[in-house]
Amino acid sequence: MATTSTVKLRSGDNEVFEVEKQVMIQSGTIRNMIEDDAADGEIPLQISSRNLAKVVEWCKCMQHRDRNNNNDNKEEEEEEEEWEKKFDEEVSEDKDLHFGLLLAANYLEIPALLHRLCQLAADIVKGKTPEEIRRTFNIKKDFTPEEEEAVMDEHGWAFHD
Amino acid sequence: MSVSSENNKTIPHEIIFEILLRLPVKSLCRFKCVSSSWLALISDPQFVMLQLHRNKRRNLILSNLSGNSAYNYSIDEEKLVSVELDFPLEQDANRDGSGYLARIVGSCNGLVCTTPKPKIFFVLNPLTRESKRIPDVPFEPFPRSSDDLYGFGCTAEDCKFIKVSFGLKPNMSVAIFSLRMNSWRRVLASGYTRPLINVPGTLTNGALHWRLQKHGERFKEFPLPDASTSFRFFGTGVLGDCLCLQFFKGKMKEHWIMKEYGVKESWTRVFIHQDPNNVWPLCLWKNSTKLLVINRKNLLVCDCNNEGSEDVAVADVPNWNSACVYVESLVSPN
Repeated sequence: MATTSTVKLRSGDNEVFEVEKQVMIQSGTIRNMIEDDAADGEIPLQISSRNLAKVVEWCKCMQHRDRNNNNDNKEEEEEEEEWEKKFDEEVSEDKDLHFGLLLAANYLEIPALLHRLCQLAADIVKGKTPEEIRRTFNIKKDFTPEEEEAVMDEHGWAFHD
Repeated sequence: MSVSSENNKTIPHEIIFEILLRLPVKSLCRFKCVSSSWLALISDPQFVMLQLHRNKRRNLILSNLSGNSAYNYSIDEEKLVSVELDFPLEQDANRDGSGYLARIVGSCNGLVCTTPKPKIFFVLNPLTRESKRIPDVPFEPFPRSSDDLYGFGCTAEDCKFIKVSFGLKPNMSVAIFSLRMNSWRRVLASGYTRPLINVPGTLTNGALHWRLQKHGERFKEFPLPDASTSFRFFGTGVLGDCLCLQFFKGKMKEHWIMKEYGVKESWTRVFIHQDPNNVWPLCLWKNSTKLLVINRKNLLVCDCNNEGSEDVAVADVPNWNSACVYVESLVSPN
């Protein structure tokens, strides 16, 4: 059976991305499908085209970086750093994109991307109040008034500098 | 699932877990107030242990010479800024200790052991503000022994406080308090006498280290570097996970680390300083081979691989009495 060197990923809103297998094997989920010969047709993914495009872009950049790891090309290195910085900024300013990518990286099993996104999330939320956290993560406060008083008594100091 | 609802989905538990693992301890304490499931997650012993092993944020604690407080520096932050911590210990320590200076015995797993009054010891987590007083030793084999040795450190599952007292004959009593069991046990050993200089023991690789004068073979003994015979021995410490020894050689103070635990040939000289009375090494500086050191007035970064290079001051320090580096953790002393 002739195997191609690319995979086709279909986004939730029906956009098809054709990407080199070498790039997409960073995803555990896609790698398993390739190894099981289940990646010859289009792979349907419940990920929006906007988020999937970002994931693919990230995977390409990382693969490029790993391949050039042994070269001492200062210019390319700077370019990659610049790209990563821009990626971090874009994600940090756009919660929908950030959360969408978190879910996508988790579903596609891309540990390095998941790590990066979790670290960005930690940097963003570390100074927030519990109320802001509840809003950010869509969490309901489920303490009884007595429980809330007890928990605030014990940890209230952590609200001050 | 429709695409438009993708971003409104709640973040699954396993991702929340991963994000929380990357947060500073103070944020985690605050986020216990978010909801009962966050409270349960952050308090979970498994999370606490994972956070301890993943988190490499280090802090420096200095006991204040002039009062019952301490100063704390986050070493890995961009800027070293001191924050004053209360030592909430005074009210519990009612023995008279006038003229006694609060001292830090040691640290492990984010817990710091201090002695604010003579023979009174507390274990505290400076970041979560939990503390526990170590009960007095229930046995005193050498009642007149006044100059005991103390040490604090951890094994894989437990933190231990150790008190060593010496009799008139060359024998010693080792009393070990387990934080997990909340109880004392004791080991007697003959053949050792008190070391000449009283310093806290050093715990690394699951064992406490003192330099004792040797009269017997009961405790595990360690090979010293060959070059050490011409030195006057000063103390033990830990640098970057390695056991570290300090020696005086004339006016110079040298520091040696045992790169491979228990291997005599791996002793390596890492740090040498002209002014032995005034400089103490604390830890490696920000993933480099440089050392963070402290003198009476400043925190300095010292490039020990580059002889002749000047130390760089990175922060002022207040009047301090003892210093200790600990890692950030949620581990509770109780």
